[in-house]
Amino acid sequence: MFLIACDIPEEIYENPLDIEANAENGINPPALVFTPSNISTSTGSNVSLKIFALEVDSLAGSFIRINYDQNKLAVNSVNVGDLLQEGGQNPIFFYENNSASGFVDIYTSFLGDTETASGTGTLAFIVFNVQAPGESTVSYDSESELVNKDDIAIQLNGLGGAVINAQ
Amino acid sequence: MKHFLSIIAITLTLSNVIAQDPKPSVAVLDFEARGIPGYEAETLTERLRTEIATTKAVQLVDRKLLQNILEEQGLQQSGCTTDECAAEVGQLLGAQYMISGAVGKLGETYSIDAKMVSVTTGAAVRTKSVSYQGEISGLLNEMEILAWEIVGLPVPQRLLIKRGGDIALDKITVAVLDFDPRGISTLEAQSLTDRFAAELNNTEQVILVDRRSMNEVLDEQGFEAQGCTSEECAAEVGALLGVKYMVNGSVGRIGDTFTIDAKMFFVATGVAERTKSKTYAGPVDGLITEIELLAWDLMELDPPRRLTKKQIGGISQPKQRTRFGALMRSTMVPGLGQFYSDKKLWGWIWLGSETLIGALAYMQFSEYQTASNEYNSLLSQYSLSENPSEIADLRIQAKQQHVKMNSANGMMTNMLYALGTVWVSNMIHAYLTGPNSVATNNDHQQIQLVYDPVTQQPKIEFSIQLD
Repeated sequence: MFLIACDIPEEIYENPLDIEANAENGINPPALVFTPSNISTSTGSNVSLKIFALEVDSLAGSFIRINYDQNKLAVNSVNVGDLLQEGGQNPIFFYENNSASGFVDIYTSFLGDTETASGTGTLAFIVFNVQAPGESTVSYDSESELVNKDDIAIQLNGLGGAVINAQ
Repeated sequence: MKHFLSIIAITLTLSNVIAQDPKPSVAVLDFEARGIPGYEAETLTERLRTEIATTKAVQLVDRKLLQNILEEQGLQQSGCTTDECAAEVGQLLGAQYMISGAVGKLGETYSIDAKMVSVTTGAAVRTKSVSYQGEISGLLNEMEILAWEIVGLPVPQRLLIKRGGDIALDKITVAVLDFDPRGISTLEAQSLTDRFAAELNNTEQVILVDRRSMNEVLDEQGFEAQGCTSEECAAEVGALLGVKYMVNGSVGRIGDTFTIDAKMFFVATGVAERTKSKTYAGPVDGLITEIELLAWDLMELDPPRRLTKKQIGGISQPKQRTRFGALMRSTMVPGLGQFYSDKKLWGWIWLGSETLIGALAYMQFSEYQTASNEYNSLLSQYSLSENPSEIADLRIQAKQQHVKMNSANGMMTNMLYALGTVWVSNMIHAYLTGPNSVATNNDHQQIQLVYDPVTQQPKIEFSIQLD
């Protein structure tokens, strides 16, 4: 009778897009985060991560460097996200993958002075292929930068990370 | 000449009388006194004569006649101790047998020696000797017994009863009055009394007066034993019978439940020394076993296995209710121990309390379950959402459900503690208020002994349950 007291789960709110949760971890908008932030998968499978911008205002261009463990992960593809294509916009988008060093640089830009993107949304999709088992992290390099139409850097108050756990 | 003629006349008279009666004629000489006063020996001899006459086995020569003959011959009874003298006197009397003997005292022991001498042959045809310890008045009973023995007849029960514990120092004399019927017929009560008496005899601890002998004695005394249920009456009957103890009782019936009560009275004081009761439910076949067991119980003896087997074998076994039984029952189900102890109100209180608290605990558990399911659902939606405002909203809702879960869990835990406390309290209460010993009965319906008023006979009735 006394052993059937109910189990109360610990409250864990880890949605990377949860501003309140991020604030508890020192990530405040505007910020760049990954979603999902925690993935369990198997070796050889593909894992898709979204590069999320939280509450950015008047984003005109960006340089995003993503560091990864080149021994366990390989960049498969990088595609443009919804936030940059809102309203039928057509941004300049390309990336450079340095698999030897384990980073990929993503470049985005809007042609002209009027096109910008604001709010919270996906800047890009990046697909990794899991090369080896184990835990590997994916993170934003501090050199990552978002700029407005005046090419003034938008203050980033947080850079999230992601963990990929491969069996 | 005159004396001679009178002797001839007496002899002829005697011969004539004797010739008309086929019973042997016997004369009893006064027993010699050895260590006791002469008058006591005379008194004892007179009792012997009286009892010999009671046997109706012989024709007893009158003492006065004997005395006259002896006086005529210049003989004294006390001086005629040899067989030859007895035979000579017998010839003069025309008797066929002479009885003579002596009563002596050695220390605290009295001795009686008697012999019957054939007048014809002069030889002793039967001798009897008795040793007795006790009051000299008890010798009167011994002389009465001797009277039957010396004429070669079995001693009546009443005399043996009077002899009492002399026969076996470790046995007591007991008579059983018919158990009073209450709700059963007189015939059934008598049958049960007979079974009881028979089993009492089987204990080998009593000398039992059988019903016929008892009725004979009571009839002689003009006493009506039926309806004799009081202690005083039982003591009176016991005194008449000369027994040490009387047993009476009753057998009652209420529905299928029988009650048997038996009392054992000490006749001398009229006090009930032992009282035993039994309650039994079931067929009458089992009641017979119970009354037989009661006989052993009354004698404070362990009953034989043949009876306990019959009882265990499935008629009814009165079960002893104990505190431990109440405790075990209350441990399993709150309140059950109290019901077992016939404390129904408390039983309902404990059971009701546990049920109520249990219901409240379950309600809280249900609330917890609901909140938990809701929380998990919201958490799942939260994890999958990519809309920050929606995420925030889902987080708030999830937190609210989490609070509900905590609250319900806390209440449920408190209810469970209360449940446990009440449960333990009920167990303690059941033990403390449990019975010491209460008889209960089980039912078996197979064979019944019933009284048929039409034939006025008991009969055995079988019943077989078909469903």
